[in-house]
Amino acid sequence: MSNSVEQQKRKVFDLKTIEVENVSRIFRISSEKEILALDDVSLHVKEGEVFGLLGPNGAGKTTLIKILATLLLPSKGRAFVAGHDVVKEPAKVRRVINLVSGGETPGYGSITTRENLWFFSQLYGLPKGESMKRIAKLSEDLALQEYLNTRTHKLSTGYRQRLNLARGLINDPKVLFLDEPTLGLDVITAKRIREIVRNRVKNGSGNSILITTHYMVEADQICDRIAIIDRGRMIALGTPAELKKMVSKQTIVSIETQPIDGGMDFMSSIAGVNGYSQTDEPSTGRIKLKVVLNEEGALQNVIHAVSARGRIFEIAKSEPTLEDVYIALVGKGFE
Amino acid sequence: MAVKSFIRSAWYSAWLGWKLETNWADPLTFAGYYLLRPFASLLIVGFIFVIGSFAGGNTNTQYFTYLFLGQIAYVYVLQITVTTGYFIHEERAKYETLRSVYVTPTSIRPYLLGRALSAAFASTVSLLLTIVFGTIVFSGLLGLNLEIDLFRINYAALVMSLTLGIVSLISTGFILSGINLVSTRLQMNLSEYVSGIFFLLGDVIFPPTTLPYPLYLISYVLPVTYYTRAVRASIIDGAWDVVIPNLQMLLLMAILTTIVGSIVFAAAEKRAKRLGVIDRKSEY
Ligand SMILES: Nc1ncnc2c1ncn2[C@@H]1O[C@H](COP(=O)(O)OP(=O)(O)O)[C@@H](O)[C@H]1O
Ligand SMILES: [Mg+2]
Repeated sequence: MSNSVEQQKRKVFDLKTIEVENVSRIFRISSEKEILALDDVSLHVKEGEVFGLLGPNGAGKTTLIKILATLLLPSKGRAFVAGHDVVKEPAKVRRVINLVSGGETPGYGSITTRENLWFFSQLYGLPKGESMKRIAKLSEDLALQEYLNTRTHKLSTGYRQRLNLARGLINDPKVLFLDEPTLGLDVITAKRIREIVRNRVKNGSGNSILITTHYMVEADQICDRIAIIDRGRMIALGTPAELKKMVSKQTIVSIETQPIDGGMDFMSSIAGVNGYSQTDEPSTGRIKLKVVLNEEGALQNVIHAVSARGRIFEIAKSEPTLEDVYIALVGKGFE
Repeated sequence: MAVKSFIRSAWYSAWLGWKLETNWADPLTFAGYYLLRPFASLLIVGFIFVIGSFAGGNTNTQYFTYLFLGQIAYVYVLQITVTTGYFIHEERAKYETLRSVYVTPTSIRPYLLGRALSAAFASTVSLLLTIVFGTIVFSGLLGLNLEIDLFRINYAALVMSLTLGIVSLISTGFILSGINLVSTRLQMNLSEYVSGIFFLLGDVIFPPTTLPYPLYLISYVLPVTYYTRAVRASIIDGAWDVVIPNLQMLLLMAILTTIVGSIVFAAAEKRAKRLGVIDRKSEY
């Protein structure tokens, strides 16, 4: 009897490795100007989960990660990592986390890749043999072996980013924070990183990952659940499938047109348009519009408005993707 | 357990500091920083004295010895203060590792301490070489009579003075690091200013009693003043009854600086976390 109660308790307690309760963060810029970078955000991340934070630039994603990684204090609310309060017990939190920010290439340039990793492994108190083993394994996973004895100022940006990821994994963190880890990376490295991320979590170790990304496809591929944040507020939360269902009643069309003078701002004023995004297709010189409509009938209005401004080459209906959810919720696509 | 991890992190940070400081791929930087700079500083002060005394027609060897030892002691002040005051800036802008170090279990305190200790070690090399070099130039080549008697030096007291000096200078480094954590405005220059103030007011080249009234008071609250005095007393006087009062004052100052350093650094770290500037690179 008591055993099963214990087990239940354990389950309820253990399942959540990150808990964010009504967290707000205000940055005071000057005596008059304040930025509300996070506005009453609550969420949790479960053991064995890859959790994605999706949102435009300035949405507050990095701010949330910094609070959880003990680099920044929240203005309001509480947050826990592995059951430890990030404000009151930062040292305990730091024992189970690590953080990798993409687009950054930290490292001590005048020492080698191996020495950089060795140094950080020692800050985590790893025994010598274990440290060597992990350096070998990580450099194999990230194809860094060739460069282990190279001074890191000689490495290309891509390899320095790999080194940064290896550093982030050196303590085998229970909770890993990845802030735009594939930003600016070549396709192959980005793919490799996605694989590593999936494998860390899917091997039954109970590790979890909180990742922010700009890339919708990436989020769709690797995240178990996703929170969409816009201007500090969480506006949607769910599995990729659940999020896509949110737009299943809406119609998604792709339109290929010639470039339109004066831009696409007119789209937002068309009745029935929920949101849109545009991408240039340099190979054809055309523009690809993605439009989320509240009702199919609105398609007429869109075709009318676009063809009045430029030639339409192609129109197609499409299945909802994460990007469409995002467009529908935020009103525009990523720049 | 916590103490053990702290020491361990400090030890490996000292290892890192030594690797970075004595970067053998670029030995010129090391030589420039740890050898040429103190040599040059000693030569300038020495020659100003020599020229001044020729013009004046007499050589006051007692004052020259004072200057010479002030310069020797100042090697630590310069190297340790400047190097440790620079860490935060370097971590943010040059290596971009401040955030990575900060989120490790022991965070940045043992890191800063370890790197400061390796700077102190490198400075000791620099201090010893400056003594040899200075003696050769002034005593040997220029035939100036330094009032130093190798047999009268109280080596035990000298080691204690240097050790306590290191403690107060590293604590000063923590104060500077704290200031740099919350303010990026001074960054690189802060430690240069501070070591400049120590040079002028720390009993290095001017005895405090020769300074004009308000400055004279500042002299007496600077730990550097007591450090340079203790070093001189250990070398010139040697006798314990002269040395002990100096060491006592230095010990008191070292303890005070350590306390103030810890308080300032803790407050600065907290403020930096509140402002969100721990890992910033430029002014927001
Ligand atoms: N230290 C800071 N001081 C002032 N404003 C900041 C600071 N850090 C972030 N901000 C502001 O907070 C908002 C959220 O930023 P951030 O969390 O970096 O967004 P994201 O990572 O989603 O792009 C932005 O408007 C940003 O300018
Ligand atoms: Mg960001």
